[in-house]
Amino acid sequence: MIKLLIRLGVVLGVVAVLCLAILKVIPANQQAYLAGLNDKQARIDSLQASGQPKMVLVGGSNVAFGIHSGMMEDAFGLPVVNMAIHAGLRYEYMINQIMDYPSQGDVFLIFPEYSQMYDPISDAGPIIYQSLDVFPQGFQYVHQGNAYQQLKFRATATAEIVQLKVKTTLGKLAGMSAGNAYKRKVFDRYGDIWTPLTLESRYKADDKHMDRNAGKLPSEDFIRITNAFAEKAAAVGAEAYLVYPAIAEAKFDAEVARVTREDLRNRLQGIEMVNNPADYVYPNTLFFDTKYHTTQDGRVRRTEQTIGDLRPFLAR
Amino acid sequence: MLFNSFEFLLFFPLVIFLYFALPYKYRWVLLLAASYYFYMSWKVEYILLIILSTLIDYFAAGRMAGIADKKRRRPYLYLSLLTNLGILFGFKYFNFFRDNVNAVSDQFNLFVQLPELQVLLPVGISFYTFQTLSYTIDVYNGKLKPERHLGIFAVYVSFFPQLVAGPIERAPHLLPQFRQHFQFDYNRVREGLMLMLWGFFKKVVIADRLADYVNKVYEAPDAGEGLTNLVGTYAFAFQIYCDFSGYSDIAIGSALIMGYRLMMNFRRPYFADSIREFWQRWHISLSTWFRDYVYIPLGGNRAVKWRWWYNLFITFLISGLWHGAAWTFVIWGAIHGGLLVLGIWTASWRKAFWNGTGLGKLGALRRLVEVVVVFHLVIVAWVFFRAETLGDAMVVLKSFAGLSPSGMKGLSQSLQSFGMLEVLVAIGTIGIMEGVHLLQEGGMSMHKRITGLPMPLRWSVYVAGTMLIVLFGKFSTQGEFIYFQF
Repeated sequence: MIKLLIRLGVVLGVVAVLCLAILKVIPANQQAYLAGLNDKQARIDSLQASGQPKMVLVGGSNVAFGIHSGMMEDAFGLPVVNMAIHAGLRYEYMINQIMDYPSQGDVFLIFPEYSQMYDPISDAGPIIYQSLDVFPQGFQYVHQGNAYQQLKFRATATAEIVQLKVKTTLGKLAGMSAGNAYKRKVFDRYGDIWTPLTLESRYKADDKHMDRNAGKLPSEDFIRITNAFAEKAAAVGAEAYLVYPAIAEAKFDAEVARVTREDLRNRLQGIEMVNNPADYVYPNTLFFDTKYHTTQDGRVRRTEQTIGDLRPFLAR
Repeated sequence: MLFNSFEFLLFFPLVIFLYFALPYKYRWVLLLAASYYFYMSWKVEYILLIILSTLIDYFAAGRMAGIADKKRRRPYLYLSLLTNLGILFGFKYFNFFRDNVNAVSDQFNLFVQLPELQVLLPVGISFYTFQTLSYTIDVYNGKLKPERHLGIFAVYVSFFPQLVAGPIERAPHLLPQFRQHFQFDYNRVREGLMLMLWGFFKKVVIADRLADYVNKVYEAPDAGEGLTNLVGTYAFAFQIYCDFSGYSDIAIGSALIMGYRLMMNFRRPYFADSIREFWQRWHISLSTWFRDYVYIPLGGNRAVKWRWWYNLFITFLISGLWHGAAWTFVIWGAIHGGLLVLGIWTASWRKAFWNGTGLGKLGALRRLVEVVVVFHLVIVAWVFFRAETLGDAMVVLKSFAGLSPSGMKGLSQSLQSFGMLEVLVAIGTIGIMEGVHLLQEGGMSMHKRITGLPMPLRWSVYVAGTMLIVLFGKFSTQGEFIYFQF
C-alpha cells in the first residue's frame, strides 16, 4: 500500500507541478472582457477617495449594455460608476463588491436580472472562476462558506483557471478569439459598454431562461443580501434603490414579473423599487445579442425611462 | 453524491483506507455505512425505500428457502414483486399513468381525474429494484440459496459503486464476493485506478463537454436546421455512451480497488454490426437481466416464429419503459424491438445480397458497411430517447429529411456559439477514445499494454491521462449522470 501511495503521490505531484507551471508561466489575459473589473474597481476607488457623493450602478451585463452613465450624470449631477459586467458573477459577489463603499449622499441603483433573484450565491460558476484569473481581488467578494466549502471552491477555481489559461493559449495559437463585443476595451470611462452599440440587433430570442423560473419566488438569500446592503447604506446616509432591467418582449413573462414584484414589495426592507417591470418590455429589435443586452437605441430609451422613474425618488 | 464531485474525491480515499485498515469481519459494516451515506447525501429520507426493499426481500427469500414446494413459495415471491414494483410504480410511473388515464378520460368524457403525486424520483431506483428482484426470483426458482446475513445482504442491495446506475449485479456473482477476504493487491488496485481514470476521461472530458451542445440543440429543436440537429444527435450518441460507460468504468474500477469484480457493462457498442450485437455490447447488465427475467420466461425463441418476435418486441417495449416514464422511451424501446425483429426477418435476404453481389467476400468492407448502418439506426432511435416530447422528436426527424447544403450556415453558427476550441477538443478526445476502442476491437488489452511499458513511458501515460482530465474536464458545471434519472 505504501508503494502505491508513494507512486500515486509522485504522479499527482507531477500533475500539480505542471499545473503550477501553467499558472506561473501563462499570464492572465488582461484584454479579456472580465478584466474590465479592474477598471471599474479603479473608478469606484477614485470616486470614493474624492469624498464627493456618487451614483453607483450595480447588476449584470444588462446594466453594462443598457444604461448610459453620461446621461445619468447629466440628469442627477452625480459622478457615475457602472460596476456591472456579468450576471454570472452572481448577485452576492456584486453586492459584496460595493458593501464598503456607501457614503453620505451616495445613490446605489441595483438592477438584478431575474435569474439572480433565484440563485444569488456566488459559490460556483465558470464566470466567477474566470474572473479570478484577471481580477484576483475578487476572492474576497465570493461566498465565504465554511472551511470545507472554501477548500472546494479554491480547488475548483484553480483547476478552472489552469484550464482557462491553456484554452486561451490554444485559442490564440489557432487564431480564435472572442467577439469584439466581449473584450476589456469595450468599456468606456464610466464602465458602460460602447463598442457593440453601433452594431445591428442580432437577438434571436431562442433562449429559454425565463421559462425555467416560472412559479419561483426570489430566494431568502436574495432578500437577506439586499436588506443587509440597504441597512448598511441607510446607516451612513446613502440611498439604495432596486430597478428592474429592460427585457425583450419575447422573453417577458408578465405573471412571473408580477408575482416577483409583489413578493419583493413584502419582503424587502429599506430599499424601494423604482419601476414597474412591465414598463420595461421592449421590442426584440432593441436588443443586441441576448434578452438583456440592449442596442444603442434600446440603451437610450431605457436610460431616459429610468431617469424619469428615478427623478421623483431623488427629488425628495 | 456524484463520482465527478469534490465530495467523492474525499469520500472514496477515506473509504478505501478504512476498508483495508479494518479486520475482514467488520468490512461489511463499513461498506453498508459508506453506501447508505453515499445515497443519503442525495436525499436522506429515500434511504428508507432501500431499507424497506432490503428487509422485504431478505424476509421473503429466507421464508422461501424453507419451502420445497414451488407453489407454496409463490406468495413470498409476490410479496417481493409487489413491494418492489409497487414502490417503483408509485415513484416513477404513477404520474405517467395518471396523465394517460386523465387524457383518455377527457377524450371520452369519463370524468375520472387522478391526482398528481408530488414526489421526487429516487435516484437509481430502477437499478437497485432490478438487482434485488433478481435475487428473490433466483431464490424462488431454486437457483440460489438465500443470504442468511442481513448485513451482507443489505450491502449487496446498496453497494455504493453500483448503487445508482449499475451495473445491475446478480446475486450469485456479487453476494459471495462480500464473504471473500480481499487483501491489498498493488496490481489490482492499479487496474482499478486506471479504469476509473478512463471513466472520468469519458465523463468529464467528453460527455459533459458534448452535453452543452446537445442541450442547446434539443432545447429548441425547431430553431435548428437539419444539419444542426443531426450533428446534435451524433453528439448525443457519444455523450450518452461516454456518460453511462464512463459511470460504469468508475463503478467497476472503484469496486475492483476493494477487490470486487463487477460485470462488464459496455463493450464498444458502436462497433456492433447488427442491432442484436448492439444489445450484446450496450448496457449488458440490463439486457441480460431482461433476457433472463422477461424474454426467456415469455418463451424466448423456443416458440413459433410470430411468438418469438412478439417476445422480443415486448421485452424491448418494457425495456424502453424501464428507462423512463414517457412515450418517447416506449417508442425508443419499440424501435429497437422492431429493428431486432426486422433483423431476424431479413437475415436470409441480406445474406443473399452479400453473396449475390460478391461483396460478402470482402469481410472488412461488409463489416464496415454494417457497422455504419447499425450506428445510424441507433442514432434515429436516440432522437426519441433524448427529445423532451414526441413532438420534438418528430421535429428533429423531419429536419433530417430536409438536409441540405444550406444548413451548413446554421451548423457553423451553432458550432461557433459552442466555441470552435470546444469543438476541436470534443473531436480530438472522441478520436482518442475511438482509437483506443479500435485497438481493443483488435484484441489488445490496454491495461496489459500500458503496464507492460517501460516505467518512464508508463508514468507518462498516467500523467498525460490525468492532465487531460485536469485541463479539459468540465468541473464548474458538474454534470449529473444521465442514467441517474432511471
